[in-house]
Amino acid sequence: MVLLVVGVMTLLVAPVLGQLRSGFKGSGSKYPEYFELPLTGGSQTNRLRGMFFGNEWQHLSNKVFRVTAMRIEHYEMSGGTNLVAVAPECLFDADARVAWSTGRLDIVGMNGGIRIRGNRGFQARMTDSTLTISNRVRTVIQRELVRPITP
Amino acid sequence: MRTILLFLIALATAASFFAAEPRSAKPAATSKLIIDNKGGTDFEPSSGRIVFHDKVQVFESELYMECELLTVLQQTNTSGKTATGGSVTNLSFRPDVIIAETNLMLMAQGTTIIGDKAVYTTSNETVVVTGDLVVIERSNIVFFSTNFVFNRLTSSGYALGWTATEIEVSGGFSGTNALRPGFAPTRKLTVPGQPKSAAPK
Repeated sequence: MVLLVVGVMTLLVAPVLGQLRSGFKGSGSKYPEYFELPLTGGSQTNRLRGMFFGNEWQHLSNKVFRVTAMRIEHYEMSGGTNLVAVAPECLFDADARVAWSTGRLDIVGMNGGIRIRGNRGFQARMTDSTLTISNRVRTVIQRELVRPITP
Repeated sequence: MRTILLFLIALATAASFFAAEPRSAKPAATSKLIIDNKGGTDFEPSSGRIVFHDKVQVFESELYMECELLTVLQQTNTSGKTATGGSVTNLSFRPDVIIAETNLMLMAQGTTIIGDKAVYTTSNETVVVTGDLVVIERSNIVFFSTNFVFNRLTSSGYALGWTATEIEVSGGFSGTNALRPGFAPTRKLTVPGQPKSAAPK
C-alpha cells in the first residue's frame, strides 16, 4: 500500500519537476567523454577523450541547453591536450552530446600549430570527436607541421 | 663637449633610422600556411583528418593554391607514435598526406600547375599532380602531361605517360631585315582648317 502511494506521488510530482527544470540556470558544468575501448591496455580504461565546458547553462527543452563561453577540449591517449575549441555561446544536446551554433568558433590545435576560425556556425559531436565548421573558414597552419620529421 | 654629445645623439638617431628601414621595407618571410574556404570544414582530431570544402585557397609566402576539396591526413603509422598508440608530444598531429582535388591550380616559384588532383607527401616532400590534362607553365614553356611528379627537396620532377611541350620563342629564329611594326610608315592625320603643325599626333 505504501509503495502504491509512493508510486502515485512520484507520477504526480515528476511532470512538475520536469517543468521546473525547464529554464533552469546553472554554471560551471562540464561533460566528459571517454575513449570507448581500453586501447592502452587492460589497466587503463575510461581514458578521458574530451571535455565540454560551459560557463552558464540554461535549460531549454528536453536535454538541450544554451551554453555561454563554451570550451571543448580534446585529449590524446597520453593525456596531452591536442585541441581546444572556444565559442561565445552554443546549444548543447546532452543526450546526443552534440553542440552547435550559428556563431563564431575558434580552434587551437596541436599546441598552437593549427588555428581555425569559423564565423558562421559549427557542429561539434563529442561522441566521435568531430568538428564541422560552417562556411567561410580560415585556417592557419604553422609551416613546421607540414615539413618532414627530421630525426 | 655639449656639441659633441648632441652630434653623437643625432648620429645614433640617424643610424637607428637607417638601420630600421630595410627591416620594414622587406616583408618577413612567414612560416604560416593560411587556408581559406567558403564551404565547411570537417575536423577530426582523433583520426587526424581535416577536410576543407568549396573554393579552397592556400596562401603561403612561396605558394598559392586553389582547389575545391582539400584533405589533410595523418596516417596511422607515424613515427611520432608510441607503442601504446599515444604520442610523444602534443604536436603529434603532423600531416602525412595533403590531397587537393578538383579545379586545382598551384603557383610557386614562377611555375603554374593546373590539374585535377595533387597529392603531397610530407615524408619525402613529393607532389604528384594528376588529371585528364596537367598543364605546367613556366616562363615561356608550357608542358602538358597526365601525371607529373615533383620533388621539393631536389627541386626536380618528371612526367609519367605521354607528354607534350610547347615553347614560345620570343624574337623568332628567322633573321629578317623587315622593319618592326612600330617602324612601319604611318599616315599623318590632318584636321581641315588647322595648320599642319598643329595636327594631332
